[in-house]
Amino acid sequence: MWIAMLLLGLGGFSLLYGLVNIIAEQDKDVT
Amino acid sequence: MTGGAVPLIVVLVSTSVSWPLALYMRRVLDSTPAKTDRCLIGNSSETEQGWASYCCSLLTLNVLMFLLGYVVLTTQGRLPLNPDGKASLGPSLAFHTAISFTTNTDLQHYSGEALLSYFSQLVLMWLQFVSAATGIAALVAIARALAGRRTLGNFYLDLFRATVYVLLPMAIMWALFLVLCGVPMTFQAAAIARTLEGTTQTIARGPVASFLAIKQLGTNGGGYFGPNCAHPFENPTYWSNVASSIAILLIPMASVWMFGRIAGRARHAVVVFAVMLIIYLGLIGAAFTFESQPSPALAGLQVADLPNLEGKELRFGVAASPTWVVSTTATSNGSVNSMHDSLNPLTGLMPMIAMWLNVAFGGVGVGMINMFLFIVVAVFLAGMMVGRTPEYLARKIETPEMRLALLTLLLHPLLILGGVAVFAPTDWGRTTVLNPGSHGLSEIVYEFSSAVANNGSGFEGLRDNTVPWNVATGLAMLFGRFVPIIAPLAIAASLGRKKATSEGPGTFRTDSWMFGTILLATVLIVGALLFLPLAVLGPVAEHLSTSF
Repeated sequence: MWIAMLLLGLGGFSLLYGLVNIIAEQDKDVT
Repeated sequence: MTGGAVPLIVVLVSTSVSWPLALYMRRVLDSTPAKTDRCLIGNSSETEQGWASYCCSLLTLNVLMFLLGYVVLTTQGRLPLNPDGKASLGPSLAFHTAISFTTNTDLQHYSGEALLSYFSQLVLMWLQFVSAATGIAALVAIARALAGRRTLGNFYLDLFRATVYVLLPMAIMWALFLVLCGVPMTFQAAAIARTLEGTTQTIARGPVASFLAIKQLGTNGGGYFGPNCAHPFENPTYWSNVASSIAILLIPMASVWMFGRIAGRARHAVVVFAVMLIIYLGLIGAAFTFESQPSPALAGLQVADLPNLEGKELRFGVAASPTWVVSTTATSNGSVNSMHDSLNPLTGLMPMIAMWLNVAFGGVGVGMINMFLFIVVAVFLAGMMVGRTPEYLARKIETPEMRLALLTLLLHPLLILGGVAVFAPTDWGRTTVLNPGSHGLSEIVYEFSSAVANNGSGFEGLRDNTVPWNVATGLAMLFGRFVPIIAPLAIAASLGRKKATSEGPGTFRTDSWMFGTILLATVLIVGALLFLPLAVLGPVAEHLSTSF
């Protein structure tokens, strides 16, 4: 459970990094 | 209701002080790195960042904050500064608390005095500084982008300056004021007192004043004690209450002025400030009116002529509670000086509306960022109405910006409504509410609204320290915090890269009262349309069922 909660938090942040990446990629396409 | 002077003093003083504070913030946050900056954080302060790099730095620091909070909370039993021998927190509560303080929410599923060591409280206090500084840094970067600068600055430099030059000095002064008011500041263990009956009583204390100062100034709101600012050690006197009410509003208000100064549009900031103030005052007026009615539970009794006194600290005066209720939820602060669960049903709707809209000054930095999203939509709607390409600060708003703005605005209701839809009909939510019917639904709605809006106040009446609640609201806080920072940064950078158009007589001016009216209508209509069903099923249904 200790590890699961830690990974849950890190996984959430990973999704946010992914979001930055996706928007940055689209940004490049537009510009 | 007596004591109508409280909101008047609070609004007048905080508005007046916010302007010079904004000038100071602009001066220290948006200048070239000084020698002291380079000495303290090295030459990295010179590195300019684009929006994606700025976001990654922001996220990386917040990952470290989460990790530190999680490790400390799960090991506090073996760490120093634990004179009362507090045990370590369980994993799901530690996860929830670490996310909560990292995201500037400070939603607490525990009582600080009962479960946390002094060391943990100090680490959470540090998180309150850095999370507030994160919001300020993000707003400064957005304002720079909208001013047409090629880079957004350096995140670590902005964070450092917001912490050391703005939050820290203000918090030190505020903590000293609180100590003078009688708030404890000690590392001694809990006091043991012998009562008149001959039994012993344990009186919790600790480094409270330092914790409270940043809690109010940084729109954090996490209480050192479970009852938060209703506890006499957190809020000892009438004047500590008035001063804290002002502290809640100060930096969120100054953020709006600062945004206008950095973006080079001071008149635009005046209009935005006015729209926020209208929403804030409207909510205060409504809260006062509804709370001046007696509690429905006392209808027909001789005390029924009094305003609703349930759940209030009468030493502050009755009017202090509705003022605080609105201020703390409109600004995403989340501290409480009365029990929101005991508010009359329609008064209880006001903090929910404040959190649903989340723009009446909002959190430190992020309140203005949320309003920026509504501005983009309002400008787009106005442009469509007159058949012109929408422009904001002389830059065209096109499909990519609109797509991001709308997706971010829709995430807010999606997380709240989705959470309620999962918890209200299942045992995860039903078995944890202490009141049946509409009031129980309001408790669930409030908890998700508070989490997603990064507010942190509790309606209470909810057994929320369960694994499903800790996980669901933890994730809601995480996405409710960072998506509305990432997307606006991308939008502002995209707008800033565009060639500025010359403003002519046909340009829709964003420093006009017409723009203010459209912005206000956009905020209210979008908010009303998205959340009206929840309001009707919760507080409105409760009001109707107890009034007839």
